[in-house]
Amino acid sequence: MAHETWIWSWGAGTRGQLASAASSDSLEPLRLSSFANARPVGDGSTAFRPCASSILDMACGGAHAAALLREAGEEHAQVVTWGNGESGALGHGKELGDVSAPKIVELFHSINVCSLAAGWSHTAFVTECGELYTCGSGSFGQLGHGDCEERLLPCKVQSLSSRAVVKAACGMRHTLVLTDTQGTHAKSAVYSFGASRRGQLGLAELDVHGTERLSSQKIVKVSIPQEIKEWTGNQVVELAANGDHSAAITEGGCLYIWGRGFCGQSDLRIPTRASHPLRFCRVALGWNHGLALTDEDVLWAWGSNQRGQLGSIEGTQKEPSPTSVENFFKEGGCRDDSVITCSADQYWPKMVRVHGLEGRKVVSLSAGSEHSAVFLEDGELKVWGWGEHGQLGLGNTDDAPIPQIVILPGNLSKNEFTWRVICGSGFTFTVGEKSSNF
Amino acid sequence: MSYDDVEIEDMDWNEGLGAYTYPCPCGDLFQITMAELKIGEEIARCPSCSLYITVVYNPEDFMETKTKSQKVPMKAPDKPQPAAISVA
Repeated sequence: MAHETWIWSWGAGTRGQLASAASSDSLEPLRLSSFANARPVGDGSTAFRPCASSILDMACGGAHAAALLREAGEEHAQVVTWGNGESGALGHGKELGDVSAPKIVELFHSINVCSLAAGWSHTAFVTECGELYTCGSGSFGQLGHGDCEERLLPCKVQSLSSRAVVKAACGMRHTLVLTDTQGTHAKSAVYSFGASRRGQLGLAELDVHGTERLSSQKIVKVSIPQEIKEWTGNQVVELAANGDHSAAITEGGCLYIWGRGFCGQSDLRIPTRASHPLRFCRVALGWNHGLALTDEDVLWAWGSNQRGQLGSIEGTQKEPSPTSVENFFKEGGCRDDSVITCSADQYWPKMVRVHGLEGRKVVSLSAGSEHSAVFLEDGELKVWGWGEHGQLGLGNTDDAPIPQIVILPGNLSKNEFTWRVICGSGFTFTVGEKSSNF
Repeated sequence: MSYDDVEIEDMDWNEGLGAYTYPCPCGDLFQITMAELKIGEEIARCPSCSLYITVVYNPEDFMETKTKSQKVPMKAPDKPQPAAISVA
């Protein structure tokens, strides 16, 4: 069976982050041909030829992106990067120019990468062997190599070499890493490094040299991965980071957030658990908002709604009718409540239900800096939030306070495809793949 | 309305631009030049969009005094720090 992959991009594009030939903003989805295939040719240069490859993962950062492409019949997946090349986040060595078409990261020619993450100007690569490689800007320690230097080529994070890394998430200037059980490590663990001023590393009680506690002083940056131990025995299964925010979901569906406070609330310096009774399975963060999906396919949002990022009319109310956790139970935990305020926990932001998704199954969820996007099971792509650069793909530069449908050009039978949406800071990608033998 | 208040310590010195910069959510950079800081400007703008931030700093750190002998030393651009954990 032939494999079909279709990719569209839109939004801010002046650094080549849309992977389109023109390095300019696009207000509407562009169907990309540049992904058709990337393969090194004999003379060392990289050429593209049309072929069916599968996109195993994609990550979009500040103004750059990375993807994992596997050709039909091949074992090895190629890592390609594009966009802003300034600080080495593309991993192409001394070539620091912007790249407007996916370009192979040669270092991974014989290393199998299985997942990717992208921050403002750094990139993380997780290998099938459980290693973590990072490159790009390191000025806040976000590469985890024990210094604050940049790396122009992906470098292995040595201090995690005894752990099996399974996932990474990159914020603006910090990185979170999830490790699995391996050898003497009976439990999964979460590590963090990078900028720490807003508490985004979750290390408020960091013990330095075994004795001195820093609770009275703010840790500014950490360049060697440190373990976050605030999970009260639960295993973390999901991680998210963006801006100065971090989030995790544990096995039981508990959502934790930490880092910069939302809407002027205090910064949370350690992972803080939501006290309401919802069970979450997915989480995505923007620079001032967050989105989390429950087991029952209800999408909740929190944080700033200045640009419509929450996709909720409720979120625009200045004084919402508060439903305390206590009342929530008393009222039978009514799932249709559109606002939850955790009065029991003053540090947790108010959560609102994203508008117009009732009864719809979300298959993919992503947040840009100030916009949000979901792909629904029935093939509908919905976006909301900040639109100044066309990052909503609605053909204009308006903000959208409630979810709007994006029209993808091309006459595709949408329900035959599996869909993903991936937001960078001011741009958006969507990938549709038709079932294959991979 | 200002997108955010950002302390100068959180901004990066960009030699090429001759400006302190901070990430803009559009993917470009908010920028404020040394000359602007010297005259007490506190708005850093993004050349690509409508957003701007308010830079929080002590103007005295950047002000040029009239007599050379009293000149306040400029804040040195951020240098890589060797320590694994830095504390402020």
